[in-house]
Amino acid sequence: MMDKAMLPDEIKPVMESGIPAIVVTCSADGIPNATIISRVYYVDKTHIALSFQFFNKTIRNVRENPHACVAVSDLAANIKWILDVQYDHSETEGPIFDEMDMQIEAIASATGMAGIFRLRAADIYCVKSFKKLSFTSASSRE
Amino acid sequence: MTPEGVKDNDDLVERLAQKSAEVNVLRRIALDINSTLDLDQIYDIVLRTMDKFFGFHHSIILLLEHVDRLRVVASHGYKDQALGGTVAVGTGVIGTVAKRRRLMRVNNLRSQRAYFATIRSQMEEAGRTGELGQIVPLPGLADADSQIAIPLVIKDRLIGVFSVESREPKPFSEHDETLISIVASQAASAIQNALLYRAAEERRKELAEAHEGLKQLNETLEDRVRARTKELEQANRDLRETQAQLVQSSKMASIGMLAAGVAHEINTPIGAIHSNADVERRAVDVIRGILQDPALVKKLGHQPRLDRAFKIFEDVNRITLEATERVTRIIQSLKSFARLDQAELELVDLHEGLESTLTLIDHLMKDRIKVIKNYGKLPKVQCYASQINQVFANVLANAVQAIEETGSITITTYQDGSYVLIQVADTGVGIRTEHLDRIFDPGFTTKGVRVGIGLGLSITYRVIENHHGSIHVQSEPGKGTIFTIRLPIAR
Amino acid sequence: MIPGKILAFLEDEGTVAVSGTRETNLIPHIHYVAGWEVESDKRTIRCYINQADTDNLISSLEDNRQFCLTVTQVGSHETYQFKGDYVGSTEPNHDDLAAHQRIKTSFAKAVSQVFGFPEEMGLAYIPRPSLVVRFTVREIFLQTPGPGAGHRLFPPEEK
Repeated sequence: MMDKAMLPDEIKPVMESGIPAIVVTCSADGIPNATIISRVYYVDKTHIALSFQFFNKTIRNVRENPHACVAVSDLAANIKWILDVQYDHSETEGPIFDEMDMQIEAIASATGMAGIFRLRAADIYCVKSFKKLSFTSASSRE
Repeated sequence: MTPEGVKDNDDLVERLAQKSAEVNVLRRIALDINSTLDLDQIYDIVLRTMDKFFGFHHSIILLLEHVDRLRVVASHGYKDQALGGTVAVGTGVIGTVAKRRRLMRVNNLRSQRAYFATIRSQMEEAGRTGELGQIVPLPGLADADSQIAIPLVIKDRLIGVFSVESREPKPFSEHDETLISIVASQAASAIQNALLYRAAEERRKELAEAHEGLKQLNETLEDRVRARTKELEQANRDLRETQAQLVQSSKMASIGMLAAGVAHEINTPIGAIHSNADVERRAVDVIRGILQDPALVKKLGHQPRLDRAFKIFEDVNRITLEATERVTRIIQSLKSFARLDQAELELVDLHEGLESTLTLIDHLMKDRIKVIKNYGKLPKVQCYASQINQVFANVLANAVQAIEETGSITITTYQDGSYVLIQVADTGVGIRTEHLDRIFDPGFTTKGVRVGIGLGLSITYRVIENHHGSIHVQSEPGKGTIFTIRLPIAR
Repeated sequence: MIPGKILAFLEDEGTVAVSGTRETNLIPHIHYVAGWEVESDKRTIRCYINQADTDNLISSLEDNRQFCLTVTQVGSHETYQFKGDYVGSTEPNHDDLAAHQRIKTSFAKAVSQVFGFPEEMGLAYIPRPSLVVRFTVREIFLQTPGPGAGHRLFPPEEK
């Protein structure tokens, strides 16, 4: 059974802040891939979700190798959160899927992109561990 | 207590005070919006309170107008107030909330819009414009960065959406979401009640207006029916008069032709009879003269049979002469009455017309009715002689018929300025007061079906009217009737 | 060689970057990047990393040499990913620090314009580097959101 870390509530507004997040995955043949995404979704204390709209490298990688590293930033608090996660399953219905779908539909429809953006699934990840770090470390103060 | 403990305590107290203040505001909103059924007041309370107490500076209320469209009915904090703006269900944050009937809290809208705009321009550069839809302008802040939109639902029925926006970098929180949800839920009920009340009021007004309209229509209808009935009655009378006139004219034309024919045919033999009677009288006078010779008288002696024969002959001859003279006068009157040689407007001696008329109806009056004539000095009157004679005939005939046994008819004529007056007074049974207004109506008769069809006086009235004159009747039951005809001397 | 257009992007337009490595057991790691510079061979890129982001960095690189760098421009979303092989690491020199400063300033300005944050916040996001990781570029991918996202630009994809 995998160890799961319990995310604190204070991470929720950071995930909703709208500052782009980072996802790094790795293919089965060992090539890392770093992507910038618009949003990470808080599912519960032990899970996050990423939207699967287009079949891209990230999606392909986690289906070969479930491990991923996700980072979200809180600029106002000068904090970044680094999460070690593992792809668990995909959902095509349910509250998380609906919330993601709604968000995408709302913006896409207003920008004339309604037919182009379609949420295929909500990829659910377990949080194995996380770190809360400051942007400025003691050793690098200017 | 440690300083940290004191600080924690202070924080707790401050948070409690804040929560308490929020609850009070929410309670106040609930009371205020439920105390009114005026939609504008409800909108105002909700939007102003959200701004004043919770710092939501830009908010909109939209109501579902059709199954696929929402319309802005109230707004706060917008330059052009966005009122009247519409949102298609399914478009943008508000439209998506309406479609899904779920609350939505969105942050970092600017960045997301920019992200989608980047993709859009990439697609346009790649020549895939055909796959792109139109960018629809939506009511609200063009540069909003955060938005909470919540559906207003009553018993599973969507009535609208409540939306709050912000340009600030600080995004809306879960707590903001909770506050807005509570207010939206109360607002939904209040709005629904107000809408129902407004609909009921409008319906009531419509019914009242319809009722009033019906009432007026009813009254108008009755008036119109009455007026129409009167018109129809008048038209009927006019028609009958015209018919009668036509019939009368036709009759008169026939009678006139007949009279002319009869007069012509009778005139010659009557003239011959009259002339022969005169010749006979002179011949008898010659014979009487011869028989009065003294030598013949001595020889024949007294012959009483011869005297009687001469007497009988003289009487018969006299009667023959009087009779032929009378027939001649009747023919003359007939011709005069018909006045076939005068079908145009002429200057006419009215006394002549009266006399010829009296001659024609003499047989109706004989030994029963005395005619008294008070003829004044009348100038000739410009008129249609045959029509005026018809008038005299109608009036005199009525007078004769009104006298049941014996009585008199007095005819008075005189000039009154530019008019002449002809008055015919009888000592007949008179006309009942309730009939006086109707005696000139076509079809009205007191004589009974077999006696008359009641057109004579209506034609009389029409003829006088056409001559720009007037006819007036005075009567009293048992005391007789006076018809007064007034005609202009010149038309 | 990195194509000229992308070189120009790296020099003038990119405002923020992030890098990734993976351990022996394929567990990936994120390392925030405090700036970059292309070396004169136009193939090797120097990435500036702050101390706080060096966990698992060198051990992973020495294990498998796999490194990826994603550079984006705030606002336009123009983005490229560079995948390559670790060459070595060193301490930042004067030029590195100048490059770092330039990128940091550019980022802070962009973030202020797009997100409305004060520039100080943007400046704090990109701390001073303590390490320079050098890698040679093996592949370049377009990562700008849109129809071409994921396409390999270098070496060109076979048609």
